Amino acid sequence: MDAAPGKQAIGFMKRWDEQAIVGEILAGDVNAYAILVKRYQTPIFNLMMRMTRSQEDACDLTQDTFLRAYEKLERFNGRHAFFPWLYSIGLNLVRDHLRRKKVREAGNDRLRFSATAGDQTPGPLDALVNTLEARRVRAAAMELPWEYREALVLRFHEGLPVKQVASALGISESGAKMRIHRALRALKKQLVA
Amino acid sequence: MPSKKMRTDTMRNGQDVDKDLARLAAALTEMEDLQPPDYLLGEVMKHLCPKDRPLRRLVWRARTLVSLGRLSAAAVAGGLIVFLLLWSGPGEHTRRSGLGGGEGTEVSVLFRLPLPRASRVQIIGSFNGWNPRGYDMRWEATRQEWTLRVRLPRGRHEYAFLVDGRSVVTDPQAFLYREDGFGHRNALLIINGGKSHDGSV
Repeated sequence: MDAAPGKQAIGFMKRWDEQAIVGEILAGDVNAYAILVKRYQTPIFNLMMRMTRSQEDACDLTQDTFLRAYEKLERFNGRHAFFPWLYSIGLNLVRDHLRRKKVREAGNDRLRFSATAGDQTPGPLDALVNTLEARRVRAAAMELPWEYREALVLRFHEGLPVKQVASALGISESGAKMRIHRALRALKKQLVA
Repeated sequence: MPSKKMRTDTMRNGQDVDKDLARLAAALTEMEDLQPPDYLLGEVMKHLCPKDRPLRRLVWRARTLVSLGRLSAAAVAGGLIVFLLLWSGPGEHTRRSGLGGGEGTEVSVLFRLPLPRASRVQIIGSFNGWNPRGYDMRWEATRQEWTLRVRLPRGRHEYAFLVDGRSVVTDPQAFLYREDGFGHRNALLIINGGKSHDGSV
């Protein structure tokens, strides 16, 4: 499910636009950073909400993510997209936070679904999906291990190509493909369980 | 060996599964996002200090734009800086003072300095013998900055701003700088065949 050509063109333009923005920030225009904050505060905030399930923690961690990214901006490779880099910073921060709080990451204590190639349960899902609200999918996704859930969110909700999903999660491209595939099957199993 | 009917059923089941997964993917796309609180942007911005690292910007650009191969970004950026600083066009030695148009290859350069608190700003540089006389900048209220347009010949020009007749201020928006040997930095402007290379033009 590669991005349509239109989305690729927009992604390409966005990358050049962000390259210019980062250049301006490094030259001293701190206000230019507000463009990146406005653009990505929603997905980063939602990542933190999914991981912590606490609005207070999510706000603090979102803020920390942008501050940390600003500190490290010189290390950002402008040839790549900004969001996956930002997301990886946020993911590391929230995982450190949860480790410190000794709180199990959402879904960690759930059963790990081993979706195999032979797992096919057609029929009942047709009717279920036809009347399925996005909210129910969200609720089901929240029950998944975070590695599966975030792979799905990045790929289908944020619309990132697989390569950028891999970059954001810090895994290989083939690893990202496999994770997305297994995550979808696990989500389906969750919905019909 | 599976019968033809079994293989057909398996294929049909596989297609059904693909459709199911496609529907799930579509539902994920449509999930609503929670909105962050309005104060978040302000909270982030108030903690930031401007970065004022033109050399780092140059290194970042070099790393971003150039395929490095085995070279390090610092080596490329350093080489770029050295190249720019050493570059000299034909006849540049006759124009070291920067005065006069000579062969008609002058370029119009707009100098800008956003400094509302100043009462008077003048330009001093290698092109006017570091004498501010005749190089008073004008305050542009709509742009909130001091400006002056100057015609300069090809070559390298160092400059700074003289504020209120007593403070020498380095151009904060220049792309390149050069140490003056007295512990201060001058902005460096390189004009090459009708194009200038600096951060403030």
